[in-house]
Amino acid sequence: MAVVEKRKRRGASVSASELAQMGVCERLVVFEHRYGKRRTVEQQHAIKRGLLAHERFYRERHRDSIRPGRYFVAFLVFVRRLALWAVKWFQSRKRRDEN
Amino acid sequence: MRTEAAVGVVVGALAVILWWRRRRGMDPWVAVLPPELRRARLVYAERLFRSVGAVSVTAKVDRVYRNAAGALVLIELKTREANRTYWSDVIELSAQRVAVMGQTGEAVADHAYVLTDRPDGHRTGCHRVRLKPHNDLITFVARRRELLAGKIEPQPTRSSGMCRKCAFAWPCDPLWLRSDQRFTWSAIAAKRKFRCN
Repeated sequence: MAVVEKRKRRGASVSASELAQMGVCERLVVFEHRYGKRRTVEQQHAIKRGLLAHERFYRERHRDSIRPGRYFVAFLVFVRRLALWAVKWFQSRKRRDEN
Repeated sequence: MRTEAAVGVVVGALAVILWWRRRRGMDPWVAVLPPELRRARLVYAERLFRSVGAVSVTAKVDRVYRNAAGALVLIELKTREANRTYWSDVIELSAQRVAVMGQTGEAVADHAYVLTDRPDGHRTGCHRVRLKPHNDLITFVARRRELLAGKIEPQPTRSSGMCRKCAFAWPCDPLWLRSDQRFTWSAIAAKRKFRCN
């Protein structure tokens, strides 16, 4: 079990996550205020997983907000062009081999 | 000519498959966001906000979108086994709303979304939650102050699962289980079994 920090500031601004903890367990809020945050090994792993998930979520922020329609059409045009080019290339190669 | 027709058919079939997958929500690009925000613009991501006033709240938001009505909509990512929201999510997002409104002065929607991811990274759901009004949050902050000042008795969680995972279960649980004995800090101090560093 790790002691993360001991709360020292009083009367300062409160963070959203600290307030959220009130909805989990009020006793836990008071315990952490008096004795500092303590995390079990399981909780530490969960925090690491959460941080990684948030990093991924941040990296994907633009991918999620794109307008799929535009990219969808662009993708299809590109695929069609690529397919036509591939077919022509194979046909020209076949003709060359026949000659 | 025949080749072009064949390529057209293949590309058309591919288009139909992709369209069908998107409709079924199999496309991760679309499935990740609720319909309201699929065409919304991302305004903030992983940004810290602070409000000053009756209550000073700091909050780091995961994402904020601007919806069609022009209001900001908050999104919070949660990594958990259960595909559901908790009361703490509503409080956290309500606090985020106060912080964003306080700093930017813009209108923030009274609802928000919680995206749930399993610990293995698989997205399990997107939940719409209604946020608490500003006055409720002020009451909440005031209660927290009183709790920390020792003016009121802290209430235990209603979830026994939380206690199993809690690092403070050892000093808390024995007193809690005995309903005839009230939870008091002096009782813990008297036992001297639990020390802080």
